[in-house]
Amino acid sequence: MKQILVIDDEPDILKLISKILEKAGYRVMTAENGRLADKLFNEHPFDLVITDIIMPQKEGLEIILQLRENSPDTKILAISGGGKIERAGYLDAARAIGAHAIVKKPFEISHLLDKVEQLLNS
Amino acid sequence: MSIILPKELKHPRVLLQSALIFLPLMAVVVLMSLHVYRSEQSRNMKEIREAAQKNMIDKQQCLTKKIEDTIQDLHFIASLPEAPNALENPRGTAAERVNKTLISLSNAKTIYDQLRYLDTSGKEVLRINYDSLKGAYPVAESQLQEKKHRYYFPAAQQLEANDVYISPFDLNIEHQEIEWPHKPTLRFARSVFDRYGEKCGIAVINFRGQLLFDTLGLHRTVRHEKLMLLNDEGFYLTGAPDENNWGFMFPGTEKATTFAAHFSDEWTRISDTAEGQFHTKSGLFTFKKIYPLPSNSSTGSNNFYWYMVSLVPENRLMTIVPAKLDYITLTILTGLILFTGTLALTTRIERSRQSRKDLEKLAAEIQAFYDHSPTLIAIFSPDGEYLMVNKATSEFLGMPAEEIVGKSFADLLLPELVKVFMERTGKVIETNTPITVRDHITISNRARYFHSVIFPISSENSRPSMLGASSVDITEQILYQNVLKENEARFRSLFEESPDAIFLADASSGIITRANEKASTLTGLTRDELAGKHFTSLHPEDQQEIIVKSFRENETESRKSVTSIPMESFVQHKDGRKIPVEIISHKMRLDNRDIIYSIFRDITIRKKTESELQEKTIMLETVTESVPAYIYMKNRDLRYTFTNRYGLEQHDHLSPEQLTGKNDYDIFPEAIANHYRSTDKTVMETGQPLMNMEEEVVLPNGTCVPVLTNKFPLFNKQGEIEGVIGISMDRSEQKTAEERNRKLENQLRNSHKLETLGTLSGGIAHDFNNILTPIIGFTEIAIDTLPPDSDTVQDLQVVLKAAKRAKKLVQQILTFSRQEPQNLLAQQLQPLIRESMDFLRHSIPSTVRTEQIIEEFDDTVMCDAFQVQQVVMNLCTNASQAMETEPKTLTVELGKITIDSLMAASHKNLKENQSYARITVHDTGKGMEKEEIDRMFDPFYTTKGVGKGTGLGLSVVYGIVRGHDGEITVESTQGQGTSVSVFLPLMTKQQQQKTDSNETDSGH
Repeated sequence: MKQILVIDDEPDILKLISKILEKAGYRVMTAENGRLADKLFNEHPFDLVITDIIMPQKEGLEIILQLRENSPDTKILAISGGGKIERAGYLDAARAIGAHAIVKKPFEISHLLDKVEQLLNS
Repeated sequence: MSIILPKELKHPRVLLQSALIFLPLMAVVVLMSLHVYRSEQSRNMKEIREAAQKNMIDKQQCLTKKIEDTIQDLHFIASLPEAPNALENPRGTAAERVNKTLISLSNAKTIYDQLRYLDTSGKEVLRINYDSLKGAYPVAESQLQEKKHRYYFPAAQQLEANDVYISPFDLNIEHQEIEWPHKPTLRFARSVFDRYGEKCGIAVINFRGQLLFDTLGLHRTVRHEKLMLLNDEGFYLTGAPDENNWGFMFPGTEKATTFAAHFSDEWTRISDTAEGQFHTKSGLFTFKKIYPLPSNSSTGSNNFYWYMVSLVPENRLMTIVPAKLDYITLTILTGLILFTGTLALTTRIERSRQSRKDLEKLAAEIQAFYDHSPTLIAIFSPDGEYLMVNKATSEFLGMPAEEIVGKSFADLLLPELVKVFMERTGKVIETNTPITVRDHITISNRARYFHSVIFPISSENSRPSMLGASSVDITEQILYQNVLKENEARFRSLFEESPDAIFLADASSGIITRANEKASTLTGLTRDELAGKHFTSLHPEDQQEIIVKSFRENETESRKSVTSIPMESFVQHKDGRKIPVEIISHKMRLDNRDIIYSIFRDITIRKKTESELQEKTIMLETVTESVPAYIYMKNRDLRYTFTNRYGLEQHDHLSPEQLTGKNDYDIFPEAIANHYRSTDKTVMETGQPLMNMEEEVVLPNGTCVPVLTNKFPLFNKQGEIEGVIGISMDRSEQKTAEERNRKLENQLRNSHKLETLGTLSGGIAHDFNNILTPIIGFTEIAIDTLPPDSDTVQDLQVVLKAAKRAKKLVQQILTFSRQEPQNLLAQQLQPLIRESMDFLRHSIPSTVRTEQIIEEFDDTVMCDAFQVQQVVMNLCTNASQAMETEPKTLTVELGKITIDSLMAASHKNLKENQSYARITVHDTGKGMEKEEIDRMFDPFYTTKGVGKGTGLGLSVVYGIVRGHDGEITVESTQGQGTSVSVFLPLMTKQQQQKTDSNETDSGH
């Protein structure tokens, strides 16, 4: 069973995504911020990490950079509700530094599941 | 080379005389030449005529001879004893012998084409042909022809005894065809009789006509003569001008081929007469009727004739007669010689007449001179008897000249003078040389002075027989000299006591001869030191050249006027000072020498004052001309007396020259002039300045310049108010700057406000998305878990729909705040705009007329196509909604603009010198208030009423434009409409190429 970590500072969104993924048959763990996520990385291997970009304490972009370095096999899906760095949006920035896919908030369930499936089967 | 004519030639009389002699002589020469020419001409003509006639007779004789010979031969053939036998039996021995005889004859003569015998039925029995190559030969029996139908057969049949028939001269016919080449033929025929005297046939000779013509052509004696032979009807046999001979043989051409056709008048004359000669404009005609048959040989001989005509054409005659030009040349040459001779003769006559006249004139002039001379002239004998006196002498002595002559000194003069005169006479005679004396005589109590010369008059080197005396009254001169002496004394005192330095110098050498006391003071040198110096040494070295130059110019000038122009220079003082002086120089003649008289005036004080004044003036001018203000003075009548030049260049203001002497009413509109006038008056009446008045200056071109004016009273030396001084500082720069600052500030504030709002709404949008995510997500999950037909699913669908609307709104906020990523590509604007307009056609009401004005240029920009279309569509939708009353016209314009400094200064987002594409959307709506314009890009600001718009459309436009590094501007006029312009930076060629290569690299 594939193991997925979801990081978002919004508990409702964490709850939503884990519900969708669990229903689809994945094992899901959640973290409300980057620091909690770090802890989980050390304890468990993940096939996929879904992370928000803009979060207090530790930015999503930082998490992506770290993951690329420590665990190159783990797939990364970035999700964001908007905002931008200079010209490119946050999501573009995330992709640029190593996220394998991006999804804009708010999203449709089917869209999210498609992306997840694609990443885990590739 | 030029010919120098004697000057007498210019005298009209000489020309007249020459003409009187020359013209009759010339007339005689011309007449003689004419006569000689005429007789030469007629002699030549006579020769030609005679030659032509003689030629004609020769030719005719030649012709007649040939014909006579032929007739002889005919008789010979016809009378051959064996001829009848031959005719009877053409194959017999007789015939053979006859044949031989005929062949011999034909070969001997060579001129007969055919020799024939015809039997009585007209059939050829024997025939000998002649050919110039083959010679004579008998024609085979089978070739012999039937000739009874040819005209000559019946004609010959009819002849009696030995009569001969000659056919008309025509072309030979063989087998009913005219033989070719043409063979002119003349047939001779007569009967052959047997021994019983019965006609047994006809002998025929065909004569080669060409031989006759050759005969005519032989022995031409007259040059250019043309010979023609005509038949009795005037048809050419030979010699036709156009070679159309034998015209009568060719039916249809008869008319054009007769002699009459070429020379109709001449034909009339020829056909009437037997022979003759005449001259018409065509030439000289000589003609003769020729009867080829001897008069005794035939009955019809008188009716058978030809015309022989010779023509010397007129143009040929002209060349034969003597050359006119030779005669004319000869006449002109003779005329020239005559003319020159005549001129030489008359010039000589005139010269001698002139010199005699000159002598007479000289004598008369001497007489006049002698009589009019104020000098007393007298000629007298050695013993004192007057022989001749002039008018002056007779007047001096107080009696007519006739009475004086014959009288002696003693009769007329005072005794003491008589003695003196006689002594002088004796002395002159003795020495035989003139003497000069001066006399002082008192006449009627007045002293008179005379200067006299007494001279001997002698023809040879002998004792003089007469004496002459010439006396001039020099009283006036003597008196004048006295006056001069007085003047000199006066002048000396002027010279010495003059307040100016005076120098006298020799004009030729430039050496100073005298100087006065003041000159000594000026130079620091003593008068002795000055004398002998060169005049240039008075001046500092750098001035000397100028002085010499101006002196030369002056010298040239002073020939025209007495006084020289004053010049300024410096004098070098002994102690080293350079003293400024004004110099006036005169040139004058004194004691036979040219003297320069120079007055030097010390102008040190004047110079100082002048330069001080000049400095002050320059300073004042510099101030008045450099201050950005209108400065002016007016007199008591408030007319301008001074104005500076400010505003002349930029504003086409009136120049000081145009303003001086005018008042305000002459220049400005009445209202303005009234205002100026009243302030001027206030200043003049109160004597107090008026400060910091805000006014306007109205320039002639209509421009109003805002000014800040200060006015002061103008006082004269006595402290009275004499006018007004005004200084109007130009505030237009200041005002423009203020205006610009205000605008800039407003824009800055506006854009800053929008930036803040953008950031703010960007943040809100992010949060909103986070809020919307669980709403949408859980609603979807809920719907999935419920049976599809339940009421709850229906309700949840509404939640989902509302949440999705909220999502779209957030998307727009993000676009405005430029936090939405763009898909930027280099692309052309024109297709994007056209596509948007096509799309809009469905959503814009049909009452709105749309127009596109698309300028052609390279409109490539780096942009997000979807966003640009969104901008165009938003602007157009807004514009179409802004128009409430017709006519509603919506115009979309695409153009190129390069930003200048002014534009860059007032729009902070536009870069100077950068080229932009400008998309402008105009509407014809009611326009916008300023307040509306200021807020129109604010998010959520709308004029459309609650529920009709989100208020985000234009903020999205703003966001997109700024996201493209562009700018947006709005112009609106109340009641006329609004124009919104979007500026997007154009890509340069290099940028485009760079983008292209990038795209290729990245595999697009």
